[in-house]
Amino acid sequence: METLVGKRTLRDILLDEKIISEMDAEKIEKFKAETGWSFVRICLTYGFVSRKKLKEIFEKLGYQMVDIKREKIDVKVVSYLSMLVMEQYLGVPLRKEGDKVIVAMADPLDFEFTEMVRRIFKSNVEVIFAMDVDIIWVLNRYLGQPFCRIAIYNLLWNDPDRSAVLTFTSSQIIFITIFVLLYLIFFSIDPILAVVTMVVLVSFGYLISILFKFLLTLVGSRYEIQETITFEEIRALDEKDLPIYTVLLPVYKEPKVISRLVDSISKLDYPRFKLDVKLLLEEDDFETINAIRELDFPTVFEPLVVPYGEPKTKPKACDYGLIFARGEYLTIYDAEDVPDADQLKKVVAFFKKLPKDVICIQCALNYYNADENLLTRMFTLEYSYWFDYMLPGLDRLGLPIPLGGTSNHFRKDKLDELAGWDPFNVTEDADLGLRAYAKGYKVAVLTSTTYEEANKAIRNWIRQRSRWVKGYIQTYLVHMRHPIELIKKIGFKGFLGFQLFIGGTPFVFLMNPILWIIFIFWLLTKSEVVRIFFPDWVMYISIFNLLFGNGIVIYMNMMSVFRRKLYNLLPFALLNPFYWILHSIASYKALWQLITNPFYWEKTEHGISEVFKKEHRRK
Amino acid sequence: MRFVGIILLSLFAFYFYLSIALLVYGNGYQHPEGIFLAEKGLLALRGNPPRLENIGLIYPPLPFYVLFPFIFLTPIASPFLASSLVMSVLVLFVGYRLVKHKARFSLFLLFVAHLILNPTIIYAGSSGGSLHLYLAFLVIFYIFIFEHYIKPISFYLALAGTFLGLLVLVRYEVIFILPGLFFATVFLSIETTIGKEASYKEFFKLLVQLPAYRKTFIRKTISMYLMLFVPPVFSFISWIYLNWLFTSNPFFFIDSPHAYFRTLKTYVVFNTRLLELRGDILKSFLDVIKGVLVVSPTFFFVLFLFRRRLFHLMALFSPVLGLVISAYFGLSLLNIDFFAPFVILSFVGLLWAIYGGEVKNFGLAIFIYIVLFALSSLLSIKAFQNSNYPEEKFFIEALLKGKVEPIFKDEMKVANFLKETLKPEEIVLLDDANGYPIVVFYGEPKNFILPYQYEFYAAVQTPEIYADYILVYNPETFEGARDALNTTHKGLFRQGGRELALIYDSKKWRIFRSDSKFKIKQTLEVKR
Repeated sequence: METLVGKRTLRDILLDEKIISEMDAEKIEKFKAETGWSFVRICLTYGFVSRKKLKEIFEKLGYQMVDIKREKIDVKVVSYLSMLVMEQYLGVPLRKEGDKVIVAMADPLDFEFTEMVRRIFKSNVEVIFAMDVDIIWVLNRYLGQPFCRIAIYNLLWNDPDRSAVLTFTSSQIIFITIFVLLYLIFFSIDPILAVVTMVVLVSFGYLISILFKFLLTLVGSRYEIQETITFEEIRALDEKDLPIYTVLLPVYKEPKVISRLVDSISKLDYPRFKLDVKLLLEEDDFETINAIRELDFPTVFEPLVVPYGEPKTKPKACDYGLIFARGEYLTIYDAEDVPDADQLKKVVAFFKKLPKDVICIQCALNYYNADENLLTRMFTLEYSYWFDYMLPGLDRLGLPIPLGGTSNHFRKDKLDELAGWDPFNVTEDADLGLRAYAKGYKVAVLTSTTYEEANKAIRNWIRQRSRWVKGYIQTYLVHMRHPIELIKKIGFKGFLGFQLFIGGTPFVFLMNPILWIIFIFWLLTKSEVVRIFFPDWVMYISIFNLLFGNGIVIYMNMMSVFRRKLYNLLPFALLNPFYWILHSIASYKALWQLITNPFYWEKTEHGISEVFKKEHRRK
Repeated sequence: MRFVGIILLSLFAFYFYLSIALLVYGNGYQHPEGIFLAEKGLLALRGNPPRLENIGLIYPPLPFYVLFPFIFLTPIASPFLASSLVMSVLVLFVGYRLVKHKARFSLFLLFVAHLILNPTIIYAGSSGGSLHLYLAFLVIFYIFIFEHYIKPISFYLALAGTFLGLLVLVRYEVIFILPGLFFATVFLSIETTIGKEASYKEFFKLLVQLPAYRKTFIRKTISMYLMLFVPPVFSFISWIYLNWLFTSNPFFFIDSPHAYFRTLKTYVVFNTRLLELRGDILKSFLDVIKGVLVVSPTFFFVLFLFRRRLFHLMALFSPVLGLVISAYFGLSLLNIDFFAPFVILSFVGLLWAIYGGEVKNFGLAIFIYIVLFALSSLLSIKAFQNSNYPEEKFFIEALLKGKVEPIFKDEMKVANFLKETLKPEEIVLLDDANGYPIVVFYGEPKNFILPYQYEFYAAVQTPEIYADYILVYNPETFEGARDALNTTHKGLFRQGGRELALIYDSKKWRIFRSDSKFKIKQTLEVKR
């Protein structure tokens, strides 16, 4: 083996086998000179060679790929070199065996690194071939803990009042206790009036929340066919001037969808050397890591393994990725996402047009498997209504925008300033949007879409939705720790929007079944007991809520098909009241989890769509 | 600056219509519908018990809800305040659209001319009936649907649908407009698909040749239907639900002896012109066309402008068809009230014909329009003067000539008599199907036992022990024959009753005082 070292390089082999052209080789060398990255790292990160091909090449040369995760690893040996240097070369010394050091390398022919190890350890080197993802796994597992601590506690250290590490602060607990006590006293004095008061408050809250959303939808729908960035504006961009763009791809147990994800990211219309795509893997996620090793097509990404540590949430992974991000702008895509190919360029063009205080651009999300079953249809309707109408409505009214889970594009320096995402909040995106707004920054909405996989299984849907609702409640509680301060920061209009949108959403879902049960009970029994708690004027509000509240929400969902011409979904909007039952179930689950397990991340399973499976089979 | 101008114009419209209303009211004009709604408002606010469902659930509820807030201020003037306000909102809305489309100043002037020179529009703003709301919602519906045609976004379609839904709760007659709009929607879908340049021929060719195009078009059309027609259906279902909730009969608004269409049918029987139209589609059509021609000849000019746009033709023609259908079924009085919307619809049509590039020679089109508009204003005065409906005739007389004899002169006298006679705790039994003006002029509904109260039917059986005074309408009139007291006690009006003393007598009303020693007042007093 030693005889080969220094004779032929990976560059030569790839050129000989016509995997890369001379021009490619020049580009790679140029990039190598600028960054200090090894040849193999550039090839793998920027899709010049597939991992499977690389494995075949080295197997032909007699190097068997070793799963170094299973190897005996000496932490002292690993930590001998700088993590960043080892990352550059995609190599890591694993242990000492007698007078030699066992070094795992993605390119066993890289003489530079073996020479460096030989000199540092003053001993012989035995090189074994390992895939980049495994090397990164070792590096982050053994050397990534300090970074992981930063990822977890950065927000807590910088802005403890905005961290959801505490679900309820002591002052909130005191407030809630006093409120409950006062209510109980009120109830003991005049139980009927106490219940009536509660019913009135609930009815008004319900009504106002729905009317507010109707207003947002109407405002949003006015800009239905307006394109924020035109084709000409994208064409006018000079590729040389484009900034480095970080794309974070947090995944966990997603072996099924990983190939689709990296494939769609590779199709992004953006100069590849200006892409900084980080696939964020969890330390214990061997399924996905192994799936990456087997990828048989060139891809544009570099793996980054997030060391184990609680909380094990997506925001923690993103915060970890943020530490290593190189881009001027940064975005996140989920495992099953398929963004519009020109999205990054659109964002760059849009950021150029926007004032500096706009630090984030939210793109629309929609589903590629809308027609799969009733649930996916309802979900697509809901998403269309949310991203195509409500968020643009918030945008136009200048209200705080709770960001969607993915496809939110940031100015990276401002994201650093905000201390990234809150790893303890399970809707870290919504929370971040509000924190940005509170700091005087703005979020804009762009007419570019990322397609996702709509949940087709009810249980999976409930899991996902319960996480969202729990996160909304968490976000509400966090920002309501100092309500006066919040008003001062986001203004009364923003405060009102926050109450109705962030507070109102779980509130409506939680109240819906109670109101329906009372209504059905009264319908069946015509009980006078109900009449006692619903005096005439309260009854009028309740009737209005029942008829117009439901009517308005159904109608809003009907509207939502027009922007995307999803006309076939429109009749399904009439079934919305049944869909809300699922929302309510998820909301009560969320409420329960908020108390029992606030940071638990309900994992949504992806890759279960038939659309996806068909594509998978074709491949 | 133009927006400020529109706000000022809207304020002007409010005071203008209110001033006219106060002028005609001062001259003795009264609008029965306005007074009727004012009574329902009083019952909802100060009834025994005060409940919103006291509106009766027979007539469409929205005119009542618009008027209701003004009951707190002044019950008598509430119909005028409501109509002036709604008209000023309409002015604001139309004005805003004019500004948005950067309309020429001449169009603003023409709009102002419609507001202050056309008697039908003045009638809508100042009479106190529900016409103002019908006119406003219908015009807003058309504006939104025309906007959608120019800029096909769901915003306009959704608002058009919403206003169409609300119209069902303003006037039931709107259901006759829906068939026309049903056809118009297909044209809307086609014309927003093909755009201005392509022809219907090319469209149908594509439809045959391209299955995907056909599929999308069909889906789009169905979606448009649902967007436009779900709100009216929803309003209808809501109304059925409310009827069921408060009266236990979901179709009370149809089954009630005082149901709107039932009353209309009866009126038609007494009107030879309407009787002739009933069952004769051609006569109905010609009569309606004649009516539109008299009140708004500009409407036909606008139809001419849209001769190449099937959607606009069909959409604008829908209210005409609606009137023809209702006349054919004998369900419309075909009074000027129903032709008034054509005046503003003509103006709206003209605007969108200009915006849509249908007007090639602006000056000529405006000239013709102004001539026809002037003609329509003059002809409308004549039409009002010759109207078979006293409230319309009296309105124009009160406006142009001065004093007229109030329609409810007798009821005012009865109310004044009661004010002088009644002690605060005394109770009057009255069927307010005819006597509602008395309740309004008297001003205190708690002194009455009326049909919305549970006690009413028991009280009608033995009026002398429930009430201190009994008010009876002359049974020899059509309305009086339906009075609950007359139907229960056949000779009450002429012969009186046991322990009842006649204390007031007029051609229409008689008041009896109960001299019974035994009175059931306990329950009423407790409720009070």
